[in-house]
Amino acid sequence: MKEFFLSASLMLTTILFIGQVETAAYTPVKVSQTKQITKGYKTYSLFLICNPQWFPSKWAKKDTQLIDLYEQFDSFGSAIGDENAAVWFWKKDSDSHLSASLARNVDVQRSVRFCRAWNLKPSAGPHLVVTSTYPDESKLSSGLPKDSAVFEFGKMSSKEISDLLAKLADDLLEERHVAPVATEARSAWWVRLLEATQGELSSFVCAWSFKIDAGEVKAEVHSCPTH
Amino acid sequence: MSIRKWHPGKLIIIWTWGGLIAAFALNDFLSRPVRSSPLTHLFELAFVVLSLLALSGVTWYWLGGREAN
Repeated sequence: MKEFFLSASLMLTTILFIGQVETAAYTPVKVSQTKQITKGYKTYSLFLICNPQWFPSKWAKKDTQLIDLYEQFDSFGSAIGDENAAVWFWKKDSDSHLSASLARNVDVQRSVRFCRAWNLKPSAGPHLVVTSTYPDESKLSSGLPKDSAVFEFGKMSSKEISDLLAKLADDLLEERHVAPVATEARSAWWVRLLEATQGELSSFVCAWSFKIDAGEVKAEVHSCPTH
Repeated sequence: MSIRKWHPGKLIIIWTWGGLIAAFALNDFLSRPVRSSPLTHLFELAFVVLSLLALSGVTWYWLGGREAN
């Protein structure tokens, strides 16, 4: 009798534990090349990377920028729950995407099809498109679905992307209307003037470098970080 | 006879400190996108320009000029 209660309580604990794991582990939707986006979600958040600058050169040891974005996407996908899909296109399924081969496994061609059909400027990307309409790839030519919001991460820092994704996750979970922003919205004249000034000053300041070559001592100082 | 005289020690001190502060402000202005905080950027740029103008003014009026020999 005692053994029966012991095994029964063990089974119950196991069932409860598995149940908790299953309900807690929301994972983002990672769509590989051969798969279609699954239907039935309330919203779809598509990460589209069409900007070649986000892919490191073949000599780079690690694509930190892309890995950083992927980690943020992963957290965002988990935060928005299982009723909202966060979609990232892969060439093939892989257990671990956080490796040096991450860039090689991103399905750029598929992202490019979306960018082209929805008139998203590659240089302003990566883009995040949030839509409540199923993004049917066979009807891409009909343009960006209604009730879509487009976010451009091209000029944003990692912190800004993180903050924006946190706010978006709040909006999606609380089923608030996601404002079709705005990052490319025309800003005030003085902001554009400031941007132009910043651009001119940057190109001027970054133009010089200081080099010392004294036998065994060699040093080179750049006014701006070189990539 | 009056000749133009400068105060090199004072010039070095004021331009070193002024230049350093202006350089920090300029660095901050250039390191972040304008859209992240346009007003901060506006103040930073204005500070850089005004501080350099103020340094020039101080240099011209108080640290140099014609003095009787």
